[in-house]
Amino acid sequence: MDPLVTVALVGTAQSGAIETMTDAAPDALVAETPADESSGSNERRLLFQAGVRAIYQSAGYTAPAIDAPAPAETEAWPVASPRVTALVKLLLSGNNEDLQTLAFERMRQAKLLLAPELLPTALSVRDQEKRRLLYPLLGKRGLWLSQFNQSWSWARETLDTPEGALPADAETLWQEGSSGQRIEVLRRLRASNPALARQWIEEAWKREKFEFRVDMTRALAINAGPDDEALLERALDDKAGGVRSAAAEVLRSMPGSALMQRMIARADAMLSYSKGALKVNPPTTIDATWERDGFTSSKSPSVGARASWLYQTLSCVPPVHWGQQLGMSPEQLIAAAAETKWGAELLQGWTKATAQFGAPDWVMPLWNRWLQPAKKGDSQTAASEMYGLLAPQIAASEREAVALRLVADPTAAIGPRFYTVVASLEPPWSQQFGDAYLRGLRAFIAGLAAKTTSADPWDDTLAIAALALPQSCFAAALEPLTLPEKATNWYMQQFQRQLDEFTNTIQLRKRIYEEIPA
Amino acid sequence: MQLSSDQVLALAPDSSSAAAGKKLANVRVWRNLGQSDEAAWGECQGSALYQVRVELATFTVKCTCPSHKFPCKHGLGLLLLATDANSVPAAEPPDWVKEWLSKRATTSARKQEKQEKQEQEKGGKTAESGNNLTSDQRKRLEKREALIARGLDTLDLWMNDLMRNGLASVEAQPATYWEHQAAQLVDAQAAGVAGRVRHLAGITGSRPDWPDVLLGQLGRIALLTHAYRHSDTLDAALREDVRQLVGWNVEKEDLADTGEKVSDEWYVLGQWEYDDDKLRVQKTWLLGRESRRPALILQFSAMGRPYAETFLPGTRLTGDLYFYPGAARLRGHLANRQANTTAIADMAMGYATIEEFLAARAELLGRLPWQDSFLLVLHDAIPVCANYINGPTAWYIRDRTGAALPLRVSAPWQMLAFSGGQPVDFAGEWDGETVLPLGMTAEGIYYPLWRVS
Repeated sequence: MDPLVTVALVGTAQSGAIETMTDAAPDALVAETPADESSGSNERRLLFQAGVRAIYQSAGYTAPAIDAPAPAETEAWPVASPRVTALVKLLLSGNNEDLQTLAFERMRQAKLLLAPELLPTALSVRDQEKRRLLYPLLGKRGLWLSQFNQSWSWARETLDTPEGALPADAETLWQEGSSGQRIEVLRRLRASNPALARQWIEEAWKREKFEFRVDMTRALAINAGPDDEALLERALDDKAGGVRSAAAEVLRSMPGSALMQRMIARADAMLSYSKGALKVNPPTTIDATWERDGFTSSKSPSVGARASWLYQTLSCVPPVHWGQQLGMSPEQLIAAAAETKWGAELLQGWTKATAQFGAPDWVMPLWNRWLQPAKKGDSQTAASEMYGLLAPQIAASEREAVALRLVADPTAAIGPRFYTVVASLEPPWSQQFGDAYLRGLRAFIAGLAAKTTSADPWDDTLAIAALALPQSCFAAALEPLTLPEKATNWYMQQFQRQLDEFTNTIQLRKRIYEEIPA
Repeated sequence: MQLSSDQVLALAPDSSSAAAGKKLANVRVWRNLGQSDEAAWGECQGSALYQVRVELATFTVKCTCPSHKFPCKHGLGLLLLATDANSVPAAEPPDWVKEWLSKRATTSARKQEKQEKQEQEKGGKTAESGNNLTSDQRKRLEKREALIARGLDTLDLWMNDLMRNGLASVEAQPATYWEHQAAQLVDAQAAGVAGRVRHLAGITGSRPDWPDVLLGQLGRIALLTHAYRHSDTLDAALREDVRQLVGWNVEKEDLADTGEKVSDEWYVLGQWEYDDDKLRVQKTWLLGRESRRPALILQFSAMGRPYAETFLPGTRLTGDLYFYPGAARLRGHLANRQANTTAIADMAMGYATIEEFLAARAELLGRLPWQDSFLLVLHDAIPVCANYINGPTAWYIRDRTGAALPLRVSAPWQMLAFSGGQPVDFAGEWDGETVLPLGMTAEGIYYPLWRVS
């Protein structure tokens, strides 16, 4: 330590007189200070010396030399305009993921990069799906920047080839990459060369942790075939529950698998038809072989164990099996099911199986059944869920017809909820439905009274509508949506806030379409 | 108007005003929007219809709303919109804007006239001549001189005690230990020295070499009190500095008499704020394009009141800079300002190397040894994040020769993103140990850096 500092720390009372400094120039400066009564003391001299030395040192500062990392490479795409940057900044600061997705997708299509000011925010995103969307917009600058911050390493680990293409160094990445990279390489290889991918999995199986074994098992669902069955059957005996259920899930979707044969045998034992009636007899207990195939116990207090096993079994059996097994049409089976006390489980099991395996004969009869107004014992939640499951197999025009009927009369007696029916339409909606929705909404608002305390069912669907209305409906949607003056209670204030959010979302979508050319 | 939304938001008095301003940056709530070279205007529908106008030379906002905030959310909303020519079209100002502008022009002309008159009357007067003082003023002056002298005597005794007992004893002292001493100096009307003493509280225990740093600061204060006591032996310019450093103020109005006037185009390179006792202090650094003179504008605000003038980093202003008298001639006041609507695109008049900057700074320290902060403007410099592999990361600004100065920021990621490892122009404030980044230009765009991480 500098002798001057040592004296100052200990104090002149103990250290006595101080030596002069060795630096000639500061000493000379101190000596030049005009003397007065106070300046002669040891303390004062110490302070002067320290002050002069500090100024002297400061004036003599020399800058160290450091290396600079290589700069970022030149970008292949242009950077987005200030207007787009302002819009994306606004979207990134909010939490509307659908709008973010829309904007990021359009930027990618327009080959526009994020402005540098947004890169730190974009690199700090934690959500995997958002990262996938943002990655192409980071550009060379974003990748360059990510090397300086450990928590941004995901950007460098993302595969740099177009989505789906196998990188040239696939095998090296599989051996040495991060777990995210390895799984992505495996999934891509699985799509082009399932046998080689399976071989990689088998070689790696024993040394991988259970989380990675789960991911590898799930990757087998891509192009799953009979050759994978042995490996998946072994995975059913894995010590980790996550691996077992992942394997069961893949095997269940694989027609002709041994697991599916076991399911069919179990289903046949539960269901028979004789003397004009459907006989349903779910087991009262199940053994370890059922659990090995992925059976779980019901977690809902309202669903008994037997009902749950019946539902789980039926949902794994392709519906076409029942026509062959029982010699009845879907319509006959649906009607017969209603006569049994297991009607709900039978219908839900068949619906789930139809959604999973596809069964043209079954789709419309089931759809019409779930559209019917709730009967005794039916739950609207189940009807909505089943309607949603079947929706992808129903023609868009059919779904829209149901939705049009409902927006014209939301009180119409129908099985599923208003929300489910509206949500089953793919965005963007047709102009016809968009107009009808807005007409219905405005009619509802106009009819609100001072005592109205519910905006059901419109309030639930506003968020969907804001994202699904076609551009041709924007002008009509942006006409002010204001509640009647008398509707001022708390519930209506909430509804007004939802309406404002609806308007805000439409405005943002409008800006995205206008400012980011796709 | 070539401004970014970030630059406009930097004008907001607080974050809630900034958020409210952003909401109002929507053409749907406005009507009769327009802008000219001089002003932007519009009518905003709030609880009532408010008439909002902004003079673009000074960013002075006038709004008919009752808000006590300045600028109000309507003003911010209008400025945000005005950054986009598509939202606020060029137009002829309506009468209510014209009238306001002409009233402002009259007031400003009157001020300028007064200043010119003062300049004409300048000859022979000095700040300390006191020739024109009334006897009451002289008595007040003498009384204050005596008060300050007593205050500094007490401070010297206290510092001598510190040296006698040793600095080891102060490590455990609370901040009030230093605060108490600073308060006594405020009572003695030596606010400048009080600020230096208050600053000592933050040094103790803050870093491994704190005794060294603390001793150096105490030594500089001791030299200042000594210089003040013997100011009659100093040359006139240094005497002015020493008196201002202790706490004597030079009124802005007197600058025309005593200050040096430099007319130039001034680049507003950066700005930052800090709290000093009960005041909020704003430091704005300017650099003259022709004169290459750095200038520091200090503004103070008490209890959240707005600063008297608005300086927007990244803009250029033409005007007369009156420097406060002294040897350093850094602090100044800008008069007769006129906005140049072109934003700063580079800082090519900055130093080429850090060595040049340090040499100029050493020369300035030779003139005024108590100068604490210096404007660093580097042309073609690279922000560098070092130690990023093994950590902890360290940040530097590096010149073309490879010399670098450490930065006083925790994680200036945006700075790195703006540069991409390529040379940029950089402005910061050097405090003798580290640089506080204030602004940079990259690819022709100015980015404010203070508050940016």
